[in-house]
Amino acid sequence: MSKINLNDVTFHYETTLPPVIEHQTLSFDDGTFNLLTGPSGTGKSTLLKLIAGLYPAFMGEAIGTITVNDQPVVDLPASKRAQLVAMMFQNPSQQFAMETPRNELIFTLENLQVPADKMDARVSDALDFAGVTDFADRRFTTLSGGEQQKVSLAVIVALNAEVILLDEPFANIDPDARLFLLTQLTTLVKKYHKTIIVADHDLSDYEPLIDQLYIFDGERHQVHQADAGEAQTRFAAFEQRQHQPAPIALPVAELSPEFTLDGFTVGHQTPLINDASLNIPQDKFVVLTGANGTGKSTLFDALVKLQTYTGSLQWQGQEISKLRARKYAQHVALVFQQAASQFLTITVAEEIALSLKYQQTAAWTQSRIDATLASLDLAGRDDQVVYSLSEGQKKKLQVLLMLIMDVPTLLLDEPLTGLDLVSAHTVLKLLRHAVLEEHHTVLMITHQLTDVSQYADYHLHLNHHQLSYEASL
Amino acid sequence: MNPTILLILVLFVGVEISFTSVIWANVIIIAISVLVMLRHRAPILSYVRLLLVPLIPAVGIWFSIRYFSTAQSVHFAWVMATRIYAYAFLGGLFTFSTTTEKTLASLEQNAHIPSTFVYGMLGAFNFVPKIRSEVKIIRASAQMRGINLHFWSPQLLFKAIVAALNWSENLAEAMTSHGFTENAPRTHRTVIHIPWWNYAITAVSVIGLQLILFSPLK
Amino acid sequence: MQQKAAHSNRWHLRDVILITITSIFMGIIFFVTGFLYNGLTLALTPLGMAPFANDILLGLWTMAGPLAAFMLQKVGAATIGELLASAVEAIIGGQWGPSTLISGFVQGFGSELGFTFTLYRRYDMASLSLSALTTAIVTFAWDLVRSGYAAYHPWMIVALFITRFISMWVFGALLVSAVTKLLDRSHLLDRRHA
Repeated sequence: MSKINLNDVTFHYETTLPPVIEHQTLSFDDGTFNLLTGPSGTGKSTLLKLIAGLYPAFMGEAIGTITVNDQPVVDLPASKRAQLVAMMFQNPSQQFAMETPRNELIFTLENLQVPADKMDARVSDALDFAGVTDFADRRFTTLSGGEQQKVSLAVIVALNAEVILLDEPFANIDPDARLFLLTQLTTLVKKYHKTIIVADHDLSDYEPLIDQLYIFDGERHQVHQADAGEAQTRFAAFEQRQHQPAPIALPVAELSPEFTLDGFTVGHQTPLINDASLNIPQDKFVVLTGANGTGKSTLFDALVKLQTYTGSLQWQGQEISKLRARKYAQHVALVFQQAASQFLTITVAEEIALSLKYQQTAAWTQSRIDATLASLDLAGRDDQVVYSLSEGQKKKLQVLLMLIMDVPTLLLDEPLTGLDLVSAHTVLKLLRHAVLEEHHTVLMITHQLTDVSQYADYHLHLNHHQLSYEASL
Repeated sequence: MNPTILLILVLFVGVEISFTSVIWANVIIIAISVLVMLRHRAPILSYVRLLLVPLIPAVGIWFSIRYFSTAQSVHFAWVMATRIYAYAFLGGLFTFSTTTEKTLASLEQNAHIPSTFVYGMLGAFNFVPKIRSEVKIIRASAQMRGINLHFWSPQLLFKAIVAALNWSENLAEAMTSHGFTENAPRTHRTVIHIPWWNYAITAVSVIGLQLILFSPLK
Repeated sequence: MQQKAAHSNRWHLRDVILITITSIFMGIIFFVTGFLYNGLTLALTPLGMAPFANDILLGLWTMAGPLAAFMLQKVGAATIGELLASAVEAIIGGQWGPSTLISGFVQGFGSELGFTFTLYRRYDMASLSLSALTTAIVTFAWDLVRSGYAAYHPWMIVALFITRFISMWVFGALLVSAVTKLLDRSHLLDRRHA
């Protein structure tokens, strides 16, 4: 029996833009665990928000009907809809109105007009189920991404919604929290007969859990249900892509260090990296890996003075906390995980002109830039607003802008996310070139490891609060 | 006291002393504020802060009125200086009598301020630490591109608004999916009442203030 | 069935959150001007010119109104925007000073008039400049009473008013216009206006 029905749905963010979802007819069965996958930026999130009734109320224009339990979702007031369709969002920290988990649950039940004397039992049940009881009265600002997603689950349980949607919920959270949440979600399907759709580009651990796999095809702006054969192929392909470690050299002691860690500890509540001591060599391409939420970005923040630390962290023999930010920024720069953080103007051409104006050497000429833009498939977009680029295009432009600056040491936080394999190779080639020909130092965080070992010199791995060099990548 | 009643009282007193010139009224307001703060066990540092923060403006205005105004009135110089302190201490009185959350909850239930404003503001305040770090990120990322942003740089405010646009969209969607319906009726786990003595205190305070303002006291 | 988000004069949840977050940003960015204000006051006190410190910087604290009016283009946006900003100031500054909320309302009402006089049809340098003028006039009338400005020599009153207007024009019109030009060109507000 189908729980959710889409009937010839077309959605545009703006009339002038091409549709994100086109003539979509689709259904999801009652009491099933469904996985929706596809490249990032195709519209998985849009589809979930349409089912949740958030779009087109908040954004865009839609044609066609979407029903849950045969009721059109757009016709329901939010307080009724929330009891039918609940959602866990991509950014853990941007989904709560109140200061503490308990108050957020009370806020939710007040919205549903639950009588005051019925609230406490429902709140404590939900907190228990989601494993939140221990930190129910701590402020959200002190909770990790994983803890915040557990609170989001608690809210969903308190809402007692029949349909649960999860939009890339594990992007910023540690593996233990991910496993816990997946287990509890399975319980919700098996024991409480909920219908779940998870949008995720990472397929690991799902195969035994799910009933159906749905695939978003970005070219056709449509989702289709994969049959058993296709699902199997997908999972197999994903597994293969995951594991093909190639051998890589270990750094030798005589290399001159760019960064030196000595008893270095960093973290908000509990240490993420604890008492680390090692060197990161100069003029090399080093790749930093580790599970989500373990502290890779926090290390980068510390390296560019955006995060305080204890112990010692030195750049070319000088303690980083004591350096002047403005001068240091001319030696060590960060390519931010959020590409848009790097932009300062409006169009692609203006951004490039800005980098050219302030570049430290004349290594990048206009003709070299034009050639590189072409190789990155960014040519002819001079007048495009940077914020309207796709995530992958933003990433590519961002890397190019920072390469033009010609800063001696570049830290890159997941520059390959959302890039197709060809583009990823082009970016890696550019970075390799900067190391070999221009004697720059490159330190890059990535989850996408395919072929990276062909370009990198060393592999640094973060695990159990410790950093160490690995002999394979 | 109920935060809404207290806020109305404090606003009323604030406006009235703006239109009158009685030093004693300001001094008594400061004294009562100190008493209330003592009762709420305000830390010593908060008194020091309340004495120091208005010091420069108060001295500035005292000098301006005393020596550079048309009448050069000593009395009016003291009125203005004590008025600045009275504003500050009224703030201290309110701050230590309640919390932001209680105030907003009371404004929703007792003053019937639309819930959209109450919960919109509450939700936005969760972003304070994120906003602090975002300002640092915007500045740092500009420095990495060779540009130093100042508080008057349009790019700094523009980038701030870009972040605000993103976050407000995300939070509003999440709150809606948590069942929040703009200005629709809600139940309340804790119902906030206004005890009768709140009205009594308010009446006594207002009458007392009139007696001082319209007495021979200067 | 064609569905589309509508534009109205009502304040929606995301508008309140947007303006509040923007105000918190401004509070944090302009925090440094607190020291500037104290320094200026100290320097000007021996000359009896202390009130100028306030008027030179006042434009910064009245920016939230015109900015909100521009971003939301609603009737009442300047008033409510400035009132929200003053509530933010009260909460972040840890001081629920009554004067903060009262000034916030007076300032918001002042900047609102500029947009009212242009019938909420113009959102450009002309309406921003007019709004800077109305804000200067309204807040000045309030300060004649509240801050004792009426006691000063006529030449000083005129000079204070001119200083205030320039400050409000520089920050409330020039800077706001520069920021909103960037916003317009980025088209980031378009989806919300749809």
